[in-house]
Amino acid sequence: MNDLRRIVIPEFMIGRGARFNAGGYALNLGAKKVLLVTDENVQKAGHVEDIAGLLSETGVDYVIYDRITPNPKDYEVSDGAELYINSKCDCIIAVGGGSPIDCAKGIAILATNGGNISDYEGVDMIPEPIPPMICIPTTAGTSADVSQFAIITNSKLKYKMAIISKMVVPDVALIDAETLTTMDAHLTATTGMDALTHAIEALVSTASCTFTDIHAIDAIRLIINYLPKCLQYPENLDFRTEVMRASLEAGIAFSNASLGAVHAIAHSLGGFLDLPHGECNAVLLPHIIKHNFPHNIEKYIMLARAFGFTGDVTDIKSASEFVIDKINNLNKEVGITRNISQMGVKLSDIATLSEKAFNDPCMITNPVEMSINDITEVFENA
Amino acid sequence: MPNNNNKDMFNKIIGLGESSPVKSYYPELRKRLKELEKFRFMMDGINDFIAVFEFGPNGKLLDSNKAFREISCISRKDTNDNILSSIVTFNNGQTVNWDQNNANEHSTVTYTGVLHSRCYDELPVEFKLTPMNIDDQRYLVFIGRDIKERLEKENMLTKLNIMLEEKLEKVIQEKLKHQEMMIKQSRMAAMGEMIGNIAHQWRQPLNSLGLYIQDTVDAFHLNQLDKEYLEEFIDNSMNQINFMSKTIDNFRNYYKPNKAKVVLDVHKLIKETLSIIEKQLEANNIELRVIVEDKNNKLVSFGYANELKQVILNLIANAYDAVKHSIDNHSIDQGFIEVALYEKGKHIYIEVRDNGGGIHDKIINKIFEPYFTTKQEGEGVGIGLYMSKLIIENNMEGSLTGINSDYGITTFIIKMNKKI
Repeated sequence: MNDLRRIVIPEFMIGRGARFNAGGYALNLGAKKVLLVTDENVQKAGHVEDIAGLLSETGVDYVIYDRITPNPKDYEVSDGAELYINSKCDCIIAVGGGSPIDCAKGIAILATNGGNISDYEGVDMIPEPIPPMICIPTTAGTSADVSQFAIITNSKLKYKMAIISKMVVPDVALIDAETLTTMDAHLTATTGMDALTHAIEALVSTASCTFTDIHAIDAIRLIINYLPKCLQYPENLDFRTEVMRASLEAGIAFSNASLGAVHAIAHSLGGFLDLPHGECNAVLLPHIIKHNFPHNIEKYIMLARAFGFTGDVTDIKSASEFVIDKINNLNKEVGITRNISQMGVKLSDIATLSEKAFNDPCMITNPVEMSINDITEVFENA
Repeated sequence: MPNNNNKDMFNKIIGLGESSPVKSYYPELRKRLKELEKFRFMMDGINDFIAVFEFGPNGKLLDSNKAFREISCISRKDTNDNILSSIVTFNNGQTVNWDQNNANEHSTVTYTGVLHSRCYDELPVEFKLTPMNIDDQRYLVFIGRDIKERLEKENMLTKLNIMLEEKLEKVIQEKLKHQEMMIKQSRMAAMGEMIGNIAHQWRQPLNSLGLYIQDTVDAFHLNQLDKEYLEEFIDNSMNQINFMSKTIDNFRNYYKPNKAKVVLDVHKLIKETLSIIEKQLEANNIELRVIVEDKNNKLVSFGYANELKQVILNLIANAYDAVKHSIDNHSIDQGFIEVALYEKGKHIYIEVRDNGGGIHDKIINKIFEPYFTTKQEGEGVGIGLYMSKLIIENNMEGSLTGINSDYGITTFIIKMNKKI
């Protein structure tokens, strides 16, 4: 197999205080008026004020758009794009977790391409480059700040549209662990488990390569070691920095190697019930590992080793159970305990959810092709 | 969901086969720069002086085209604060409304003034000023034009106009003089005609008078000079003398030009006119036919009575000449002149028709030209029809036309407005 690849990673600054370079970057990108995309919780945490102050100091005008809910909706994207155009903005800075960043990507797409965000659903569907975009993540998990993914909820059809295009890779990510200390335990846990899922799915993805594997494995190792510590010592910046780095590496890996069935099903589930994305991933992850394990033994053994499996690598059943146990334990440790029926999924919904998951582009790179029946089975077990 | 082929999507995810593999502004930047270059080239090719200033009374010159740079001698690199008022002076009274913050973009105002060049003489210019907004910055676009040549041409045109007016006045004067002369000539001709007519009218009574006078000698010798004879003699003689006197009156009334337009009883006017000439026609054995359709004396027009009589008489005289000529050379045995009067719509028509042989096709278009005549030298001066047309068309808002019919018949038609 030809191993020709293109790897796209944006310019990023990582480390404490990285976010304070937002003004300079905005100026560098020729910004005169910035659309500052964020949400209320991030506003409350005071991060937006910091960035707005930096922009004012550098003489860059800005307007804030913060009417964004978790799992951002298509109409929130349209409203934001309208504000961007009416305010004559020329640059976007997203401050927040996956929701504001994905919404900002949607706004950026519409700002230069027009139309509705659903027009750009799918892989490589965006004809025109987006405006200059700077991302300042305030969670350690989604990695939307470095990825070619934007997930927007279709409010009418109640599912998450996956937009995958190199066009939505931001220009700059300012990755600053200091912003993480304002996260509560649940958000820390779900975003952390999201990052872990990114890393695992990227590792076993049929589109993975050595370069993405290295980052995926490193991300997995860091999350196993430091996510529980972050929950134990939420103010400790060293632990936060490690998880932040894990998230970045997982992002680099999955943005270029794509994901798999966990995300395909999580998109369907999260879009239908407006559930926290990380929690959906965390709950589904063990079930998919169980299903996928025999189809990419080499990678899953690498994963087992990363989790500390020391047994016989030919004993696939033991290895698989070891990993699933580890993840279930980790979920418990970080406080993710619900199953999907507790999360609100009814038996009658499963057929619709399965079909949507089957059509999700993330399914393309799953180690094994899953039929609708396979997916239904996962839903029933989860 | 888009139904991309999975293999295709897979390749695109790993960065192969994408439609826009490179996200770079550089190609676009190069395209724009090229466009800008083309735009500059275009602007530099325009003869108008184009410049962009910051908006405001002290707005600095920001950019300009080649024509502007050349005429003002201000280069693009010039670092002086070149403001609009240092480059142009507005002609008296014109100012720019700098407060038009809310004025529409592209609301162009045109001015005239003088452009102060750094190296040439002052230049009269016409220029347009248009405010323009780019982002939040406000600019003023200056588009000027050299109007030196235009002003010179305008001056020349004014002079030329005056000259032309003078020339025209001269021509009009000459024409008036000429017309006056024509009128004089036509009057002279008419006078000659009058004398001829009087002479003709008088021939018979003079002859009669002569006979009466000679008869007195015979009567004397025959002792017939009694009271009865004398009374008869006086009666007869006075009849002739009265007739002769009346003839003079008729002609004098006829030739006296009317000063004012009056209501014309066209039928009566024709009768009066015919009385002047009917004897002459009778003497030459030319039949005069008069056809009048005048119910209740309604044929009333408005104009100059004597002039109209003169025109009708002129037409009959021409007809008489033609008919007599045709009889003399035996082209016809019996000549006639027909005068018809009728109305149609809002108009009154007078037709004078004769069988004098018609007008030759070659000359029918020339008959109304001055000095055109077919008569022998000494017989006509060629201003009769010309003057007739002038009188009818210029003074009485009518028309006079002439047409040929079959059998050598010519018809002249006077069309006049009916007085309502």
